[in-house]
Amino acid sequence: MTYPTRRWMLGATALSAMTGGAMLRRAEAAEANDGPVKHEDHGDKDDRYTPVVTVDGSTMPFKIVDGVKEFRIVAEPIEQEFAPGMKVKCWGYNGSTPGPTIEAVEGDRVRLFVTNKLGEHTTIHWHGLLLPCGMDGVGGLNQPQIEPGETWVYEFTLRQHGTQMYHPHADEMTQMAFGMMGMFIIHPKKPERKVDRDYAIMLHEWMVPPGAYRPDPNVMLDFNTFTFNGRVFPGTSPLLAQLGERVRVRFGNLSMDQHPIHLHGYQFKVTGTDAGPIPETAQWPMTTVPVPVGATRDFELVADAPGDWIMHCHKSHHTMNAMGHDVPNMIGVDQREGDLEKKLRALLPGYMAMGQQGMAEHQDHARHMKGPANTLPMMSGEGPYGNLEMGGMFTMLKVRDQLPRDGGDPGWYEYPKGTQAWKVDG
Amino acid sequence: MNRSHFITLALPATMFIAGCATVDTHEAMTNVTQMVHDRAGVETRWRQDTAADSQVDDALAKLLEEPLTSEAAVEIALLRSPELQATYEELGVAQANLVEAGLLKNPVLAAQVRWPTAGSGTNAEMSLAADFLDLLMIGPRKRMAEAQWRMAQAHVADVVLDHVAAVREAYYELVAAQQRRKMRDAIAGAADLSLELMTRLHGAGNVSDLDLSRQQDARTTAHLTAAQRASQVTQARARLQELMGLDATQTQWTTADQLAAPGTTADAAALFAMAHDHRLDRQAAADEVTMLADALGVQKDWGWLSSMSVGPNAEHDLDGTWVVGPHVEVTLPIFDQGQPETARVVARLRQSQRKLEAIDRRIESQITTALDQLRLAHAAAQQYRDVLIPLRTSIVSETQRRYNFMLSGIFEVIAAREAEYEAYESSIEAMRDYWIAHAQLERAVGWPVTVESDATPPTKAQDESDAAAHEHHHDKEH
Repeated sequence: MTYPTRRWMLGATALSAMTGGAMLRRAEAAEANDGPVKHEDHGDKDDRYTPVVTVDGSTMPFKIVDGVKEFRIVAEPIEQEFAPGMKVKCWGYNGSTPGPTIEAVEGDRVRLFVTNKLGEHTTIHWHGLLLPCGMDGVGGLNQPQIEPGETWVYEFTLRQHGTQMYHPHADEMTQMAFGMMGMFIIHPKKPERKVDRDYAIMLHEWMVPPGAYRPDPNVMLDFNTFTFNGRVFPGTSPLLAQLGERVRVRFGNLSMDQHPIHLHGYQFKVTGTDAGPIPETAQWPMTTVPVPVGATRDFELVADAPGDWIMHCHKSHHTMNAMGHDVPNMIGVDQREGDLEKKLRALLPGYMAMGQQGMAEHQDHARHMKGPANTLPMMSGEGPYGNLEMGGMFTMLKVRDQLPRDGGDPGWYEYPKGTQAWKVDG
Repeated sequence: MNRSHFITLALPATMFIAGCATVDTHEAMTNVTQMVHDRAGVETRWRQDTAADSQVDDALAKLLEEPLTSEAAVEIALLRSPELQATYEELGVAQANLVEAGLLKNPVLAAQVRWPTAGSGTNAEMSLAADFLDLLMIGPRKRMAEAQWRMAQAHVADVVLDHVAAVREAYYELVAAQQRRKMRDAIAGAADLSLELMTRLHGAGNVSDLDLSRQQDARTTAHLTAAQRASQVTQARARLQELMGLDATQTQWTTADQLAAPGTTADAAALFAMAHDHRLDRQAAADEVTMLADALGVQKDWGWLSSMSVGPNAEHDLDGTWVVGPHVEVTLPIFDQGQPETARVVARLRQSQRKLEAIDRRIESQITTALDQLRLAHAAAQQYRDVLIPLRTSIVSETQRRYNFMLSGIFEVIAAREAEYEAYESSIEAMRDYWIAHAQLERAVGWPVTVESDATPPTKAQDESDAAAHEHHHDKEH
């Protein structure tokens, strides 16, 4: 199995709280697979909700001061590993992109301290939140900019619930291109139908030129890297569910493209938008939920089908890592005739003809051939039956009768006899 | 005085003064050979249709068996070039002049016989006149002829050195032309592969006619350039063949594959001093100044005397008596006391002094220019070897990595390889320019200029070990 092991958050009590050196600790823990996340202290335990799991991410800790939930947010340059072999110089919050998920309950009064450690001014806009205009965070309009080194405070009472986001509203294009964003999830006062698993995934797009380490913020549409919570496959972790559990997945999208997220094996109901829950009778059944730019979408399902079900953006380029958009189309071009491939190999040692029958062979080539520095193969990943040939916005929902107690990856699904496709002769 | 007296007086005197009259060029040629050897490190041989010629032919045959170095080419030229052989004959002329200068003018015998228109008897008169001035001047004249004899040797040696430099330059041109053709052939080969690929892409319907035309254009151009290089090789070869003096049956010779790496260079001040001491044309010009100063001295002392001859004179009178006595003839310097001739010599002396100065200026200019060219070419060659070629090689490697990950197309990789070949071609040109400048510098200094070679020249790119080592196991599927 080639998946990196990740820390898994289980059940009702697991909440991971990481600040500052989040990346380093997460990486170390992933190596160690040290079992269930410790419930770190961040004020009163809250059993009004199942804590959201930000896959490959974290939840922002808070302190209750005179009944107000205080959060400390640092806007700063960071380095993030999108997957082993690709490190990117981004801008994020509290050490990651997306920043830690802010989680609270409708009715909470929140106080958010924002410290700017960027080289330029910034603000934070609370996307989708109903609040006094002066807290809306549009620099130059609602407030002066937060200059480098300054700390400003936003404070308001939450009077809605749903999946919201937070992101800068100063030099917005650049700062968002560099990854400044995060989820802001507000639970209802009265818990509605309880979910057993609540996952949050921030969608994003980047252009990281092959061989380089920094995204190019000037690119408008020609992105080459597509992330779930700042990770690309094979660096994305799977979502877990036990058979029969109710699962909710929330998506946020602050990229430049709509992403149609498709889940195999299930018909889910779209239960929420960035403006709150959709009444049950109005909930749309779908297998692919289009997540527009600047919006969030929640869907829910009951995990009644066991297996390894993949979940991915259905724009096929978005499930590839960096691709050459201008390479010549080699499909149908035979290089063996007349020893052309051999002659080219004499000119260029190590040359292999590629692409005659399609691009699948790329994954095998990439195993022994060197690419540019800091660049992932276009497609990779290995399943129990061979190459997965995937990248970018790709992960899995693993549904099992019984998940491992330590919250770790359950491994590959074992297909019961008679439930798999089989080969016939002729 | 009787006849026997006459004979006893005149003949021995004549014999005594006559001296040896054979013209032997052996010493002159030995000197020339030495001068050339000191400056160029090679032996010259003069074909004089003797038995020694077959030795020369043997030496030649041996040299032609191996790929020629520049020194071998020079040796062959010195053994074989008919132009040079023609130049050596100047030594024969100079030698003859020297011998002639040492010979006294032949005495003039005058005789007349007259008979009286009336009466009997025979009047006969005889005189023998020897140019006395000639005798007086024989010393200075020999001195001057010797000086000219030395100048002729210096001139012949100088012509040989010119030829040596020309052979070296032609050699470097040829080797460089061969190397450059190799690079252009490789580029044309790469263009062939690009075109073949594009043709297959076109056949599969993946690219347009325009894409195919562009690739055909590039390939044709590459081949035209390669053909030009081939033509340059032919021309360079013909030039060297001519300079070496080989005939149409001796065309099998080859040269080394590459030029040696450039080396460090000398400092101008030291080179000026060497040229001052060793440049043969300068030496000849200095000798001429000395000779003309000497001539001026002689002219000042003796210029007033334009002719003087002495000798016995005898007459047989009608009455049968012999009258015998000395005969002197002198030109009296009344009108012309030799001043015009003196003035001429003064002018020629001054002229030769100015010419010597002019030669010095020319030498300085030639050395400075050649040294500059040498340094520039050396710097360029180092830049190519140490910076540009490694860069182009790594660009090929990086582009191929992109190809491996399907981020760049194969045409880009091939183009990167072509650019690498072009860098090699330019580096070859820099090395050629270096060695030609070196030959010109040695010519300008008139003495060998040693350089310390600082590295081995870059050979054609070696296989990249990371790619070359692995053989795909799934290669067998293809």
